[in-house]
Amino acid sequence: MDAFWSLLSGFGVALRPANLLFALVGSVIGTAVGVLPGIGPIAGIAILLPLSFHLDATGAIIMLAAIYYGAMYGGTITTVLMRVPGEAASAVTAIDGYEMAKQGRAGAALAIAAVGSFIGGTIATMVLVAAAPPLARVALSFGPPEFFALMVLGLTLVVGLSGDSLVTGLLSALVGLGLSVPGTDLVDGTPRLTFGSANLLDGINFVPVIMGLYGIGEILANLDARAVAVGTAPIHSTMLTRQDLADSALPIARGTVIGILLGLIPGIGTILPTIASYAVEKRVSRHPQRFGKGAIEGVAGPEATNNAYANGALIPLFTLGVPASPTIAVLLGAFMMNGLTPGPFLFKERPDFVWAVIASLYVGNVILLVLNLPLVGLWVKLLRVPYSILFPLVLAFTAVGAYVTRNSLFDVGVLIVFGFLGYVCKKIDFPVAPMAFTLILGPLTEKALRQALSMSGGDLAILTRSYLATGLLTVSALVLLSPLLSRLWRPVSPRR
Amino acid sequence: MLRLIVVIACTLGVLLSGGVEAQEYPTRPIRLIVGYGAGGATDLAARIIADHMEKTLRQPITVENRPGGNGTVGTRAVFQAAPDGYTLGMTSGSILTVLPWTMDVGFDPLKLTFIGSTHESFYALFVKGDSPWKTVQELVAHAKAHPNQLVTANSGGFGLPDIAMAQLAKAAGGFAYRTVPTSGGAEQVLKLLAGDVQAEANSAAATISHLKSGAIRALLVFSTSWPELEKLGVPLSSKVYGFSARNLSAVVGPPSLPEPVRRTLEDALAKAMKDADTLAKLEKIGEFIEYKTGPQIRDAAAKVQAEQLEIGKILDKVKK
Repeated sequence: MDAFWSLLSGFGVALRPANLLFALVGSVIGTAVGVLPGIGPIAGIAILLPLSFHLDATGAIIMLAAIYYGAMYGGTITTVLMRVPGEAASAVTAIDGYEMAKQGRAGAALAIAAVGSFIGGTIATMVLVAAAPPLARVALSFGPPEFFALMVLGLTLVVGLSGDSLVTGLLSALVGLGLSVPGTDLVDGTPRLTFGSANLLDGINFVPVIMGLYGIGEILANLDARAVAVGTAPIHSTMLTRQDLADSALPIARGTVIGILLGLIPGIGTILPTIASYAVEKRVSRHPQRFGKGAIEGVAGPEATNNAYANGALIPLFTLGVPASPTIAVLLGAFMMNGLTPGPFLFKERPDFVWAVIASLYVGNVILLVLNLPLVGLWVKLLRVPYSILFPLVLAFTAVGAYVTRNSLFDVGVLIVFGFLGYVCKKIDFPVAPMAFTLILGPLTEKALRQALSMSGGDLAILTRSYLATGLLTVSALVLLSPLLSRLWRPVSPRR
Repeated sequence: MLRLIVVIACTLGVLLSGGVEAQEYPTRPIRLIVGYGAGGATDLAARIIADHMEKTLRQPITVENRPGGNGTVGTRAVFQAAPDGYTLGMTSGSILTVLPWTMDVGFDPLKLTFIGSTHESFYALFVKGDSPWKTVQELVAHAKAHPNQLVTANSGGFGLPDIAMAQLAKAAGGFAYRTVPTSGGAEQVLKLLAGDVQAEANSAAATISHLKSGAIRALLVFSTSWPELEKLGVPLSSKVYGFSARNLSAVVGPPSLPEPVRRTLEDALAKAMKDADTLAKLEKIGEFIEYKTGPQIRDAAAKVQAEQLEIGKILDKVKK
């Protein structure tokens, strides 16, 4: 009950005109940053960080947090319309969202993304209010062995995204893992497969890879086959039908739970939660064959997960002072600059501040919904812009986006190379999703495994040290074997 | 036609006379490259001083993050930039003194032009609040009695925490321990809180709130000073074991930066480091503020580097 009154006073602060304005400005900037391919939330917050010197602490953090979750939504727009993920987390939405756009249902895809994001974000914030301190302990129970088990589960789910052929899916996943090998060795700090290039010391950056494989590849493919292009598809109603809402309700609920739970575990990133949501939806669906061909569940679930994760990931920051993602790390920097040390003492030392920021999360989610639903029609009209104008613009923004992530020209080269690769993959019908996702999950998996083995001195038994780790590994095994098992069972007991 | 020739001649004259440019420096915006991602201590310090220095220099200073290779990619970009004063870098002690001995960084950090220093990071040895070891001697005794059983965490690659742990092991008479690689101070402290590692060298920024809550405990101060911990009776490594691990951050420029340009920048930095508002901001990020002139910080870095050549050899042995 205490929390409730604190939250009310937090609303008092968050709804002050100045703070409301900061939330609005942050949401708009965040949406813009998300729309521009590659300029993800990290770059957006980093660019505006110096501005926070000159604002009061509460206003500054409200604005930066609004940029953070605004970008999560903005990334969806270009993903659905042009298959160019504005930020990495949208890559999953690209699978079905873009297919919906091709069928003239871009409006419905964007609308359900806005609704799903709103519900996911709002419920995650409620959880943050009600149960932050006990939930923080979950973060601590995820040591390297548990993290490794979770990553193994993630990798098995990725193969499920491969589309029709398991063999090409596995092959694509292996290519992605191979691409994640170059870099600096974690344990002894020596360069690994960098061929003497300083650009490869941190490995291949996945942002330009994803933008290349998806966005540039798609543009190239559209150039030589205009017939299937989105812009020529008839645009049906931009509104959601009753059927759409009924189909999306459960995916949004499940996506929200997945997002909150995974948000608690520091260092997971946005990709794994969205993959998990998509994989779950595909598995529980009564018509899994529709996935990949424009299933609204494949947009609703991951989008709810995305924003639930974005808000859930603030829990470890507020309670433990531990940034759950690189974006949160920049936010942590902003806290420090304003003289606020996130961690167990923040709730006690500056309750006014903490509750104002939490209240502003609700406010921000409402602003995003109000901002984005009416704009859906406008965004869809973007597709009517002639290709001769739209494509050069998207290419230019994508190249800028690839550059600004690390201020590196090398990354622009990576974008171009993977753009052509994405085109070839599309032509030969080779799935790119497993490749993109294993490139991100590979290093996380390797790190967790090597951390675990460093702890145990090389003893593999540590990988099953807890029920959590053993349980996750068992689930992974079941997921891998499930096609085989269901084939054995189905004749005996038909589903439902 | 004649007018055109005059205009061209004048333009060429201005372009060719380097002296005029040096006098008027800076005439365009300056880039300050940080070798780490946005939000870390080095990045924040760079943004804070840039915010003040641009008032003195009357030109915008843009902080550019170029993470990679433990901070060396960004510093190498500074090393290779034109020495015109429009590309500067903010480096940490790891880049200046540790990494040249542990990896091939592709440049000699001491050849950089040193403009001045802003802060030195606090470092200390931490254990979990409920761990059985109350003093560093107890921890060392445990490590010696159980060779290669003590689990520690580093901050990624080979940085200052590794050096500090290796120096401690050597100075305490030699003991073997395990090292869990992490991506930085925040992850390190999480591993300690979760009980996945037992001891670690870490900086103030990541640990201060957990120190206050009693979730972790400091046993030994590695840096030359950390007043808050010293007040609590935590001993200095320089007193107990005769070494300290110094993390000197510095603003640098490319090699052979003209002295007038360097002096202009040094003056602007010195002015920023006297500004109460700037100092208050730097204090908030939890660093030990210490302004040193270019030559002073270069000497200090050279001294620390020489000390750590010895430790680099130890680390090589640890690796094998």
